[in-house]
Amino acid sequence: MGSVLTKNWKQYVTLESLLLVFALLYPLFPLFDLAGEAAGLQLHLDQRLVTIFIYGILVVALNVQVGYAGLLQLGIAAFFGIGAMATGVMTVDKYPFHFGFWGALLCAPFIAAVAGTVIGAPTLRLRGDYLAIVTIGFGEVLRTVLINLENITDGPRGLNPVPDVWIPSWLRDFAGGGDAGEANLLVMYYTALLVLVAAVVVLKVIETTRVGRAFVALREDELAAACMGLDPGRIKLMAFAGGAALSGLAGCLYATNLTTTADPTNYDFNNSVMVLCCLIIGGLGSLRGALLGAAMLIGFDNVLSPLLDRAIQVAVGDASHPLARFSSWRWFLFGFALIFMMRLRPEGLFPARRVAAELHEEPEEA
Amino acid sequence: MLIVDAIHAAHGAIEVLHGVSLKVQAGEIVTLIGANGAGKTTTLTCISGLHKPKSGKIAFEGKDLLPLPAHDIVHCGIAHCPEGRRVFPRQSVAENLALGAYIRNDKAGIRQDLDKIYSLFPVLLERRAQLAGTLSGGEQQMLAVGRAMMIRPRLLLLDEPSLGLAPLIVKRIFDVILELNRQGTTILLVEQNARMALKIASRAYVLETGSVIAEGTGAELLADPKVQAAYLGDA
Amino acid sequence: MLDTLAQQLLLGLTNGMVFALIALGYTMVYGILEFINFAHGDVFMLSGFFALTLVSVLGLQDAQGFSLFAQLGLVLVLASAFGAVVNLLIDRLVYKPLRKAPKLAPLVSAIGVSFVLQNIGLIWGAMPLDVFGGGGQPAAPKSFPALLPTTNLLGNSAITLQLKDVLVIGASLAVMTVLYLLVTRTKLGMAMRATAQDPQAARLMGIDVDRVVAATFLVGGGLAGFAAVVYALYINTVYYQMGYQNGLYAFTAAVVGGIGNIPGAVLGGLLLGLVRAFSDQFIGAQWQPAVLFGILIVLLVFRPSGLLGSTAREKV
Repeated sequence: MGSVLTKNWKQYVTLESLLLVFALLYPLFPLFDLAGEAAGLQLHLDQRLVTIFIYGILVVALNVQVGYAGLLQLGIAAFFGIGAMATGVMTVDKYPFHFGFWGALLCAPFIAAVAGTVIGAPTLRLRGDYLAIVTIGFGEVLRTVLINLENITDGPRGLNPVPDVWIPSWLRDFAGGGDAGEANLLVMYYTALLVLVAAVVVLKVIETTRVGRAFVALREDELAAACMGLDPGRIKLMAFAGGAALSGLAGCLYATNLTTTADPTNYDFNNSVMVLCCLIIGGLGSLRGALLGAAMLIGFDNVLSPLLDRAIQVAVGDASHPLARFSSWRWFLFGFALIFMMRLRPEGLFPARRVAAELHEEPEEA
Repeated sequence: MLIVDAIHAAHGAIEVLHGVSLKVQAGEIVTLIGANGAGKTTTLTCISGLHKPKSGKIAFEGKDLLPLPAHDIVHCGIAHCPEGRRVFPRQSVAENLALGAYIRNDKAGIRQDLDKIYSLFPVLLERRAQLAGTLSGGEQQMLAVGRAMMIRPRLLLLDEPSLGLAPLIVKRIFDVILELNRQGTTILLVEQNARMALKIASRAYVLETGSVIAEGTGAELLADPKVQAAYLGDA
Repeated sequence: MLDTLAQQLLLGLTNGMVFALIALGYTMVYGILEFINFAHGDVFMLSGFFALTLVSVLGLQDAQGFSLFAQLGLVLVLASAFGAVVNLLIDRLVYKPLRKAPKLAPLVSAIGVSFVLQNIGLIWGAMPLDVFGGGGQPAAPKSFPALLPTTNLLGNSAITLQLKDVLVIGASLAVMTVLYLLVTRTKLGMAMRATAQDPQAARLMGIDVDRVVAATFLVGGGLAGFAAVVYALYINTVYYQMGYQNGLYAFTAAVVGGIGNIPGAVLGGLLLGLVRAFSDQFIGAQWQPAVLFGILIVLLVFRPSGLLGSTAREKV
């Protein structure tokens, strides 16, 4: 009896149950924070988790492009930025729109999807490695444009203030018990979680439909798929635009969370690669893997990293030497993680079964 | 000269050769005939080292070929003219032939062999500055054979030289194959065009879905009614 | 106006030479393996740090005349060797085991290598050497001493032509000529060209494809090392991220010329250098990435095979 349970433990750790857990755990966070402070850590679990949820949406978005459609996308941060910028433009005082949070939440993905279609339509037919370079290039172009069009984007300061999530004031008072700050945090947390859950559910449904199966066919053999009547160009574009839309969604949440569209360097290649790392390490093609990857890496970056910083400085006794900061060795670690992953388990820790099979096929000889 | 003993070979999970054995004596023309997918090309790639069999033995003049990489097997004296010609498209005819002589250092001998090939295939001499990718199918086949001969091999493996070529050109190539054999090169010829192959072969094997189902002299198999029905299109 | 144009032309040419040298490394490896070595730019960067360390160790800031040039030559040779060896090591350790893996694996691994190398550059910059400013700020750019006289060779002309301009152009042309001879006149070059077109057929000619790949990485890395010294002499800076941006630009140059195409890489490098110089002057340096990558994207959309035609093997 016990062995049956343990053998199939994975099926119990479903997406839904995990997300439910997070929904319910919120009230307990102050306790966790206290425990963390005792260990010398500034946990701020509620805020960290919001970041993880937002990046979770990003990783899931990238998964649509890379895991589902097999496109080599290295510039997801550009669409993240477009979503954030669009949110800024649609909500701040400087511009006449004033859509408010929910309006922005609806429009930002749409704008990002349009951008995705514009850049994707002419370029998706390129071979894999060329497409990778194009996506990097687009990211750089966007970043440069955002930085330089200061009168539109307010440069490094970013457009602000981006308003908080709007909910009726009676609900807000109830949530925060009178404390506006508390209320904001709680609302942001649950909104982000809600959007993430919605995205995951939608994708899970799509996976079972004809579109989902079309993706699989496309990945396995593009030529054969075309012969079966599927239009590879259209499918790829759908995936690309869909992933862009989700990234835009994440961008909207990001800007709302920070109450500013922030420094355009947040939307650069390094960020794109970070998201790719989450996906690669967590698991290609599967939603569970994508989310776990996000949790692991962002959690690592935000929680473990400062902890290690502290530990190293204590051990070495010299807090001032630049090498004594863990952040000086961070890229080393990421780099090696990527290298080892590709060598030993290129499909990631919790991949979709099909993708894992695809990545371990015997290669044909010429 | 060449002993292939019970090789099993697979492409990924699909087993292609189920214990194929054959022998080639020095000076012979041996041909391996069979339908598409029978495993003929795989047999040749196992011998030349492009593909490693799962089990079995391959020995050339007493030397075990299995542990050797393909480029070392060339040094042993085996040249493989692969399926589909595989000439280097962005190099000229002359450069392709020069590449055939890559492992050789004897300038005089190379010059001699080059002249021989140009005399066997005069069209190559005509087009020696032309890019190989722009040649016709027949010319490419001649180039591929010539390039393989520039290695000055003792054993020449030919993979479907007649594929996709007009009958006249096929005849020309088969004439050259006979001439090369007469001049001392042992030949292992893989062919779908069973009739032409059996006509010039000293001995032959029939390969069907990965196993040798018949062997004998060229004449014997030409006369065999089962072979005639399956591969020669006779009533 | 004409003077400005001429000056920008010179600037573009010298920048272009550096791009071309790095682009050659990308294009050669791509030609043989159909693989973008993302870490190539960082090999360039590390060679720059190596060169700076050498300069410090040899005390070149105080050298003069013939001794200076002789030791500078030594730095060039050693930095090239360093780049060559590092590039080869990376291939043997990281890429070679992934030869048969799907495209994603080596590409992501290369990104990983790039991170590792950048971190090494960061740590190198923390070395307690004078040239690194004592090592207190590893991320800050290090200044590479101005070893060459800065007198204008054209006297009082409005156009400045310094010794270092001549050196950059001359040395780069010399190296490219050597490379050209290597690829077209030697057996190794013949083997490289054959392998780039059809590795299996090359094996059947007796070519040891593995050795050819190793040689390609060595040559590519050597070119990057050489470019690093030239770059450092010219710009007078090394910094741990100089590989990232220059690498991307150089790769753009390789694609512009036609990836896998060796003369294409040179042409692409020169073109990109010129575009960059003129863009900086007339549009503004802050738009540089947008202009250059914009060109890349447009080019790939309309002519993915590049100006001189790519050698990429078409997948059926």
